[in-house]
Amino acid sequence: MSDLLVSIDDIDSLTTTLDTVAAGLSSSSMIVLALTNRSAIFGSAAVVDAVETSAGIQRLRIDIAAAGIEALAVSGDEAGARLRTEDKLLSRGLI
Amino acid sequence: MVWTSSDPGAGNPGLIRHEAQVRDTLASTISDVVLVGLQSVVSAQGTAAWTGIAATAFFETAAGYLPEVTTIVGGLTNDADALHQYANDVESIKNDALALGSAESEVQSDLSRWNHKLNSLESLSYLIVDPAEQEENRDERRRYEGYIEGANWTLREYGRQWELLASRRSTADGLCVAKLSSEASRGGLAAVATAGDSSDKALLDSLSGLSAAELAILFALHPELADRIAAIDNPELVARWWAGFGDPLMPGVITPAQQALIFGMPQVIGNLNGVPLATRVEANKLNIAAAKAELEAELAQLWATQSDSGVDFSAYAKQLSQQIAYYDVLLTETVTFVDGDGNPVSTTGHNIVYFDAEADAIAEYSGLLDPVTGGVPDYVQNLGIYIPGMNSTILSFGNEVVRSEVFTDEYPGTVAMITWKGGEFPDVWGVASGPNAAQLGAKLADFSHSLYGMPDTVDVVGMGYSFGGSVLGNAEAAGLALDRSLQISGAGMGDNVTSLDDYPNSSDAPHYSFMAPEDYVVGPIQGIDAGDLGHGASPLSTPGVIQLETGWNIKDDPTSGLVQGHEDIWKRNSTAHDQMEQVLIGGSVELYAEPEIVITYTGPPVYISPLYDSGYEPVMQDVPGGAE
Repeated sequence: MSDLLVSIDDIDSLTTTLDTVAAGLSSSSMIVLALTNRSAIFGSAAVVDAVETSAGIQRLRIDIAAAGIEALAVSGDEAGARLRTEDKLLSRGLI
Repeated sequence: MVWTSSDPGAGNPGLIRHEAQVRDTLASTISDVVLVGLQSVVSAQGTAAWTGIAATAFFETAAGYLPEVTTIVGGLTNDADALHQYANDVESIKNDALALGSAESEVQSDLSRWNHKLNSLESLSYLIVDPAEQEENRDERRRYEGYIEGANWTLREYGRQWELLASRRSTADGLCVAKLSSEASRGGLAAVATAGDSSDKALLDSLSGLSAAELAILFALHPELADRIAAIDNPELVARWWAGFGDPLMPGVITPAQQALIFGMPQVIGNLNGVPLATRVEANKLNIAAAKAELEAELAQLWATQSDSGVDFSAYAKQLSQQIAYYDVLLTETVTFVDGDGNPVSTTGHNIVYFDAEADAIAEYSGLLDPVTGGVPDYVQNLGIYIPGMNSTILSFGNEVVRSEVFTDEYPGTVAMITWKGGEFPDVWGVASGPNAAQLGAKLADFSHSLYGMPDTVDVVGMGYSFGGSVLGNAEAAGLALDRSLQISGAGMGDNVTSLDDYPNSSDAPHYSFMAPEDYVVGPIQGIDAGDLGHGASPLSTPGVIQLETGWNIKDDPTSGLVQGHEDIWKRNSTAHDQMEQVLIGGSVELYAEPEIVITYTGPPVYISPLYDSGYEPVMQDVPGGAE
């Protein structure tokens, strides 16, 4: 167990950062064209199609990355919780 | 409203810039928060006191997201640049169009006025008698004619300028579309062929280099592509394509590129002929996990609904729980088979080589797969393909695999089995449907292409039980190639099949069949072929099919009684079960002993088996091919 000692603050800061990152990505996934008349904005059907396709790809890419990084944050939290328990036990000489 | 040649500046540059700014802001936010955060996480690995396998995996995973997030930032920035440029181009064209339109209106106004004046002068000319005034009128008319000619020339020039503006707009559109479609914006997806405009090879080749995320995006945007890839009926092409992603220095090891394809389209890879069986197993683990998660969500929803509605869903909930538990077994159970040297080898999870939860389809390979080729190893001598009978579902499939693995246990290493249920099997009400069996048979014939690349030394033996016998026959009619075929109380030789000549690739293979006395399940329907009802010729009477004896409940033990009915043929130590083994391994089989039929006048005929005769000697026949 001794070789698994870790700075609890480091784990907390990592998971906090990842939580922020994941939250930022999740909120950033709302790439929505707020205006309804896309044709009137861009004046070209081909450009509208290209814009919508790119927006769709970016949105999916961000959502996929957000889901993955959120899962990473959860695993970091779980590891941190587990290691906090181990650290307490170690400091009390129980392990 | 889209632009036209008379309105080449259509669009709203201000709002286009707004869209560009949204993307700029998002790129900055992700770069300043996410990218910086990930980089600080990754860099912390060098100073953190956290060590161990879990820590290494944690930091490697975090580092793995850096290129993906960088790609996102780059894509959004590129999109923003494209839209900023487009806004500028549209604005410039719009301004020039406004100026041109204004100038043109002015000239048209002058032209109208001059035409009116000229008309007035021409009318006046008829009233003038004084020669000097006539001269003056003529001069003035000439002057206005000159103005009008000049105006018309100017308007023609303006028309040419409208064409130039339209050309500028076309160019601006093209540049914007090209930039938004470029690799800088869309990553690897920029080069992917879409459905309908490429060959199978071109489509497969365009997937190379895509990350797992890009594959997931591609199929989310173009679900028809997954269907198109799944329908590729060319295992040689697929095998060559898949091998192209491999590392010749590490044969049998799944490379990151192959991993991306597995994670990006698991339902396709898990069932695509030409992909090694071992890889299909890995992909189907993802598919099974997804199906399990779906059932768990449905179960949770069911409990919530029950508590609200008061309706009792406990029976259905139990079924869902059982299926979830079965999926868990498929993913986590330790299975052990023997290799070519007789050594037991344990692996985690079952070898599911075909899986489609929605279609109630599953196939399991019982045995070890070659660690290099991912296919059937060359020490396997006989591969049985077992097709179960009616009422088979994914939930009951495990029981059928147990039947298959009696053979792999009896002949460890030399016998492997595939238990196959390629779709929904009928219940008793639909079991007589010939077309249903024909559809499944076609699927089985297609599935057999998954064995592409298997060593030629492996004998393939079809074993169809009950309704599964008809599926087997239909598969042979659809082109399934076999070394031996066995109808186990089979329902029929296949829809519209009348003889072995209806089997294009297996007519010369030895065909066997048996059915126990008093089998009132398939007995009544064998040989029926009336429209959609029936399963073709009876396996017991088709010329060329060798009928076998089902014999005793315990082989060679008359005191155990004769095997009877539809299910007893599965008794482990029975003559019937031994017959299955002998056909499978190419051993020696006992031929059918025709019973004596005694006509009674008080009841139905009585069939007296000659096996009861004291001097009865079984007639044995060697099965061609195979080795024990």
